[in-house]
Amino acid sequence: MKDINHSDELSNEKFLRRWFESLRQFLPVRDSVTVGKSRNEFLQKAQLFSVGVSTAPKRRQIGWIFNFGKEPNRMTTFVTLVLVLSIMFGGAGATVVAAQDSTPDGVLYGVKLASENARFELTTRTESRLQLALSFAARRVQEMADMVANGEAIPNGLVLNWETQLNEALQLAARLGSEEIDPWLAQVQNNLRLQEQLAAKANSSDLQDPLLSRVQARIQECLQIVEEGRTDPLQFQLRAKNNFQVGPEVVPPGESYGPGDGDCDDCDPNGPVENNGEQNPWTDDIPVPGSGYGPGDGDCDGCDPNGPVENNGEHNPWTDDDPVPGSGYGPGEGDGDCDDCNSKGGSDESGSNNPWDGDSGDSSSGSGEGSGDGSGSPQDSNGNTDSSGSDGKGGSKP
Amino acid sequence: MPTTPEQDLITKARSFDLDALAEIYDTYNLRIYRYSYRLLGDDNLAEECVAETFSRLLLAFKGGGGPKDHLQAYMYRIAHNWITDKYRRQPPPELSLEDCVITDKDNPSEKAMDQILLGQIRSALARVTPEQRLVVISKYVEGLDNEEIARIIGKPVGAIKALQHRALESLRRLLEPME
Repeated sequence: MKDINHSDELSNEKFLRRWFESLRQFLPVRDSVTVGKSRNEFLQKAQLFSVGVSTAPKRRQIGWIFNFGKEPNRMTTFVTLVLVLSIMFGGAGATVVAAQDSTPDGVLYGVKLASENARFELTTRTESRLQLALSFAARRVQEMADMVANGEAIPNGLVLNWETQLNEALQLAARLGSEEIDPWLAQVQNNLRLQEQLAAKANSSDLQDPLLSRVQARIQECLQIVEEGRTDPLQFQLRAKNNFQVGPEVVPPGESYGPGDGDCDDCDPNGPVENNGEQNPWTDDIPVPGSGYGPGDGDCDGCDPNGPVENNGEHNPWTDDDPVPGSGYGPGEGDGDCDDCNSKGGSDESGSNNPWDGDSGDSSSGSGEGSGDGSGSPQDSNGNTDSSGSDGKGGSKP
Repeated sequence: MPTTPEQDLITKARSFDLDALAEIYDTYNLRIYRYSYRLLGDDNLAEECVAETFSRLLLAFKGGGGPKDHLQAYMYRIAHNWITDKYRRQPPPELSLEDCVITDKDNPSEKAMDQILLGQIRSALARVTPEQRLVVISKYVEGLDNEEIARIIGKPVGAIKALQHRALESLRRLLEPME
């Protein structure tokens, strides 16, 4: 190799400096929208890759090793399954592998779904199952997007498969413990965003596919569910029991109120409608006077069937005694005085006799008949009226 | 053995940690864009180069490969290989003076002079070998050292120095008549 002459090189560098300087100062203007778009595409692709990747595969041992044992040959469950199927059914294993790229309208698509189901069923860890379910759901959306791009109609079965796999993923996420649920919900969220972008990209033309629009709407619902779930994981787990249907909030037992259990173990099926056929559930005791509530017994042993309507034809059920003067209640609508009433009383007159006292009137009791002339002079103790009434004919009745 | 922050970043990126991958993208996308634009002279091709470079990084991680350290050299190497393939299929177009955007210059005459110089150096660079071009751009424009360039090209430092010497001689020979 020819020796490098450093003085020549320095001379060349000096000579070329201004050209290099012009090249260094040359900063192309870059479109910020394109930059953002490229960044998103890169991260989406990374997200897609991450779904199918759990851990980096172990590399083979190379170089000098002190372990002289045979290098372990780890085989994934899926590869084992494919090999067993190959042995059992000849070329069927190859068919399974070939089916992985098939489209929903392809002949081998059923094989692809069957292999996915088998892989899912053979996976036992919740986290791995969740990853698989998300991966399969994203595949379904990609298939829908491809079909729309090719001008083909999306079969209902494809949407149904997608929805089943997405629901499965959400259910699996809800089974995770409170400490580990958040990172997994974040992963579900990212996957849903990816699905949303795939669907939105495919459905961006003027003629929107109705099924894909429905898928987009459901993705949005699920995104909201997951977002709320990250804030309140307990609520997310409760909603999982309701299969994540959009509806009224589920109230946990013991925390508030809610509908009864619908049975009628300790109730009267013929009870009043407003209690749903049940008796008052808060007490089995008989209502007592002064408690302020409770229906009557319905019979009419101590009542007047022709009594006033407002008492339902019954006497006051809380007392059997006769009403006493001054108690403030009793029949009749009089005000107690007899200023403008008929001393004879009678039902055809506006006045009424005092019903509470059959004795002779007492001058100070305020009861008794009036003078008969309407003046209302009180009687003396001998039954005579006060002398002030000269023409008084009144006297106490025998 | 303690790991460097770059190694930690690569480890996270290998497991497809989106934050780590976003950090790598934000750090290197503009550098790769400028590098490829300076070599290719076409903004669409430069954007394509950026997208392809980062896509190949993901594929390498997915296959269990990719860098363990010296991420910058790895990124430039992918871009370099992509540009070399492009050169093989189709030589880069001549950059018109209208396409050149010179910053940091307010004086129109200085700007015009820089544009002329830029056109000349780009024409000259198009005539040297891809490896010489890579060495010149990496060292005198991107500011990388010889060790890093050696990692990008996959050759010893001595070979890089020889390439650099020949590249400078070739460029001087091409540009001297234009002075």
